[in-house]
Amino acid sequence: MNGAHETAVLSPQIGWFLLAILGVLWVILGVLWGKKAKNMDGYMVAGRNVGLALGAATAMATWVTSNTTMLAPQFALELGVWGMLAYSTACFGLFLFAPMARRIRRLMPNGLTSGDFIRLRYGRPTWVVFLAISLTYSFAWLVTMAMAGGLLMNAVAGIPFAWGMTVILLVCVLYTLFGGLYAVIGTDFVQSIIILIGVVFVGAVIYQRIDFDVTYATVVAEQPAMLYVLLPAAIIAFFNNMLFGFGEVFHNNVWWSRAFAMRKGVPAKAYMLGGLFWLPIPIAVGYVALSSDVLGINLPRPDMLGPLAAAEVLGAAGAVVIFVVLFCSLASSIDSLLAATSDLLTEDIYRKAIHPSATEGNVRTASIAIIIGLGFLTWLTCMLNPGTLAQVLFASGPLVGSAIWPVAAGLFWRRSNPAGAFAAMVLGSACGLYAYFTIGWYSGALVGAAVSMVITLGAIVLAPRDFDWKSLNESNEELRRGTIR
Amino acid sequence: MADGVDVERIDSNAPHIILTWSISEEDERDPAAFSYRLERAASPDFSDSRMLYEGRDRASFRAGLAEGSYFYRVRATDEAGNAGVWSRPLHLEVAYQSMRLALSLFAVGAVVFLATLVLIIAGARKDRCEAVEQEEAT
Repeated sequence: MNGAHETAVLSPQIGWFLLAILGVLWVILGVLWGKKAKNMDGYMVAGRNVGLALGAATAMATWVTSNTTMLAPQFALELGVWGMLAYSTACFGLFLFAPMARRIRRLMPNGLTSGDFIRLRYGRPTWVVFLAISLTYSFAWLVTMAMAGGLLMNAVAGIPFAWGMTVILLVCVLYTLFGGLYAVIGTDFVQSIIILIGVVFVGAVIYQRIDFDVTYATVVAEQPAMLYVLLPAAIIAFFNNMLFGFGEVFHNNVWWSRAFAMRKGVPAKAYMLGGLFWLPIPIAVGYVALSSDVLGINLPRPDMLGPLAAAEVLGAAGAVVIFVVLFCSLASSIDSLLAATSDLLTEDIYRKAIHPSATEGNVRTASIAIIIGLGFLTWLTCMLNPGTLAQVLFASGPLVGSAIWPVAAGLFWRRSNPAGAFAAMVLGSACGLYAYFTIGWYSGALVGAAVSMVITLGAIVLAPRDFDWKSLNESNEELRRGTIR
Repeated sequence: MADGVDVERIDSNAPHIILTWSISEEDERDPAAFSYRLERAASPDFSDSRMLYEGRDRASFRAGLAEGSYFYRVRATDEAGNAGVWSRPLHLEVAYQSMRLALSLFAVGAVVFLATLVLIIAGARKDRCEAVEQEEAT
């Protein structure tokens, strides 16, 4: 993995220096913000009082992951202009989640996790399938992010992959451990400002350096497929990526925990703004991918284009900027995933399934152990070099695609059927995985979502079930006692 | 080429490929001491070859490939400027997936997207009404 690339823009000494400064800064900020968390409600959902500025910033920063900065250029490289547009459709996930978040906040004022919703709405069998899907996806996302950290530091500063990946993971584990969601949202706010300033700066310099006419002529001559309107893989990937984005956002506790954490009236606006701020970023980095041949960049791996192109265009000073921006984009997502996934494991498995009478102290101890364990497991998987970022992430596409309709229909339609939701997730995942392996990685989420939709609708038509929305509102007392319905 | 194996034909339905190469075990102790030249041609005799990359990396991702045949070869040069022999060529044959499959899946995706959009927009509208009723009741 790290042996193929031999040229870095920054020296390892500068890389380590930047890494040390950023690492210490985030840990200190995490500890300071974490002091606000006086109980588990504060630790897990930031006191349910997050305002619009922090809410929009955390949505945008979390969605600007390694997947935006490093996978979007890979999409453009592999699938051309269609790929660039396909990646940008992921913002629709945030746009459509905006009204869902408003309803979630209204129906579940005391909710803690997306698992709570599925358990209360559909019962335990569906809840178990949902947890398996959600945890698999969250883990794949975490692994891609940690891998991206290692690749970034190797590409820009020549820091060995294993060391770079280990340090960024360690920093995020530490500040999430100390600060919970307060620290995550607080650091996300600072990180989102750094990301926006950095992207505008890099974009302006690249716009001045790259001639559009030369880029077009070079792509036509050397990489003609990038401009094909009827490139089959790209045509398939367009809706696949959009639906993958829907599945990621609709089901994952990263987004649900923020909906629970925002104060009344904020969630819908925050998710709309977060999506709008995010939208230009994949277009900008995708354009850089189309210009890679003009820039004369050799890519040992397609997912290394982002940092290599920025470093090539901006030189050493620019490499420092891109190092900081990418570190922030990675950290803002790793911390969110660590916090949200550990909440899911702590609440849905430890408190609801293993130890219903756990005290707040027990839960906090379990949460700490889970964050550390999750970090270690991620590190171990990265060390085994599981594949490129796209291969790892999109393997979970069929699973999250199959969750779109059970979640959305369950949230808005009273007659949504628990057995239908169960079958939709199981069969949707199975068919999506079959497509992933037989057609390609760019088809799994699409097939999973389509099969799941047909089954969900079929079950509602054939066996509609009534549901009382009030039963989604678990009281604080029930939550405290861990009562399971 | 392709980790130093003999002539190999690869069939791909994607417009891209990652080429990797290695050198002899003896030289592997310091691979960065060598520079490499990667070439591509449309014919197996490389009469129309052109250089794609020259440098110390030992892999190269090639994208935007149109349907057709491509031949690749690579050669190492040591620090003293002594060039080694060319690798055995790699033959890549690119043939995209069927357009019928692509357009069918595109249509399926469009239907799922529109149905999801309708579900959420209609649901959100109803949710607003319910919220107003709830507030009036309290």
